[in-house]
Amino acid sequence: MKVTNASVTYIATPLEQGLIGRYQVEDPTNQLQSPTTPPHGIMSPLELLSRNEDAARMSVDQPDFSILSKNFANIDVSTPEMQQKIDFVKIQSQVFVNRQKVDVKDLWTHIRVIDKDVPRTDRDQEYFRGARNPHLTVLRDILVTFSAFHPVIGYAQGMNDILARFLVVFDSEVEAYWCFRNYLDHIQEEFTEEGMMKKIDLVVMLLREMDTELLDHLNKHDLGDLMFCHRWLLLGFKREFSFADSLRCFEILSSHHLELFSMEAENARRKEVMKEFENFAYIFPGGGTRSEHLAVRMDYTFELFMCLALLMDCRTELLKCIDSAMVFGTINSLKINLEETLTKAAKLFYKYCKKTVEESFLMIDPPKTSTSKR
Amino acid sequence: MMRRGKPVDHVDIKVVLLGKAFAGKTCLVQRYIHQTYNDTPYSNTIGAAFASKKLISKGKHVVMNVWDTAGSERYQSMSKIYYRGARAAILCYDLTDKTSFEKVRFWVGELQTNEENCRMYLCGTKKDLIDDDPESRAVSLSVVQSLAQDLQSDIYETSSVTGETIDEMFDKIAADYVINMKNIPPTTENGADESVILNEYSPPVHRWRCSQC
Repeated sequence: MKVTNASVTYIATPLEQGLIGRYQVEDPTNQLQSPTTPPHGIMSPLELLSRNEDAARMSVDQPDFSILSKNFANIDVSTPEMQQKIDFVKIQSQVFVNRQKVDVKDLWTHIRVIDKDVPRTDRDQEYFRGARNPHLTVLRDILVTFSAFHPVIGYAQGMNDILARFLVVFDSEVEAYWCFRNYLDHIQEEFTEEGMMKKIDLVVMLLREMDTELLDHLNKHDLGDLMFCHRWLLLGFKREFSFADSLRCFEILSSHHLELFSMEAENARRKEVMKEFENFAYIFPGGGTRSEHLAVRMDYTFELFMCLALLMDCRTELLKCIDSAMVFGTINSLKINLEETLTKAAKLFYKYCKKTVEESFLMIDPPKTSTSKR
Repeated sequence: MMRRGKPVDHVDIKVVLLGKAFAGKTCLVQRYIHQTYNDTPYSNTIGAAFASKKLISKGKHVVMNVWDTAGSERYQSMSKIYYRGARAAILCYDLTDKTSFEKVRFWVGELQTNEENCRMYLCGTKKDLIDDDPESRAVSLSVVQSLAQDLQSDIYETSSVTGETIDEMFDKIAADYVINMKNIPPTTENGADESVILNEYSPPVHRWRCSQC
């Protein structure tokens, strides 16, 4: 790959072009700054990468797979079969790369923020500790690649935390990238304002079902928005626990073990279906919309019950709160223990399922005073 | 304005920090509240953080409720929830990053539109970097002064590493508030029961002051 610079007298350094972050070449205790001059125009990622010396290591005839993943370190690339595979991968990557045009200016904006966040990502962890830590470069490369190939989401603060978990566990750029990418597919909405508000609203709705008294009290003082759940939900409680605990918590949350597999949830869903059959015959003989307020909500994920468990931990204090400072003060002083929180959240989950089952029976055999609305 | 269950001469001030990502907001709050710099694992702020500090200003017991917002531009309108009812806003910019001052202008507009009773304080951060290398200054004092003049607000060039000018800034915020509280209608943040307007509101007029003068 040749890039012609013949007419250009001054070529910006890789640092100035944003190809590397200052923390990658200098001591992180020094000031951390991104390049100050944005590159212009639209380039393909290939062109962009071809300016990066590190990337060149992958485009030579004998690609160095070990820089991608320790799992590739022992692969013998000299066999004809492997050569064929490599040739195919090369063609495929060219196709993918050329398909995706990158708005370099946009990317540059993301890189600026990435370069501010990477050197402050879990630096107390052994894996990311110390000056010029090579794992920071991997973290950065993945975030830059992701934002280049996903221009709509780009980079948002908090992604660094999410990626760090994958990287520490896999210790592999390739695996961390793909896990991160697929995981973000599921949660990308949470990186938008509306998406996060919607998620926090689910906590509010769940609280309404489980503890109306507390929600009423908070609403009375205009505190019912539960904004303090933002960080909990976005990062899966990562910052509330030690790193090791946060990994465990993440694994539990992302397995959706209770929502998907518990007997209670299954029971509740079955009753829900039953109720629906009855309703259609009883209330809407001609067919109609299902009553929403009694539905077992599939979007009530376990993390929402975790939020609720934490609220229950400081319920007495919250009932005394009359302004947002008091609420945040109360939340700040929570001593959060993973084991206890998980147990409490599971109990709340079962309680919710049981309650829903009971309510569906009420619905099937409605009290005589109730009036049905369309 | 009094609140139930609190001492009679006690006032709460809601102070909000706004500014671009990596402007140094969290470190500033750390320095002010705990008198330390960077001794806890430090990371970007998600949502907002809250901290408070008690002090005595003009003979009044004052509780500074400090809201440290995320600099991320993605959740900009969520910030409204955090600055709602704020009596003081510290608009932070990184003295070594010109674009961070552009963001200050944005916040000025937001606050002027939505929070007319919120007094603004312009706060340059990372002054220690400028002291080490005067060349690294990217936001000149004169540019900030012209904005400060328009807003009739104070300028503070601070360093969370050394603690320079940080206590002065918060002390001034407390003093301004205590002096002006009679002129400001009570906050409506917590519902109608506290929104009785006692006096006609007259905008407080005071001169801007450069912290270096």
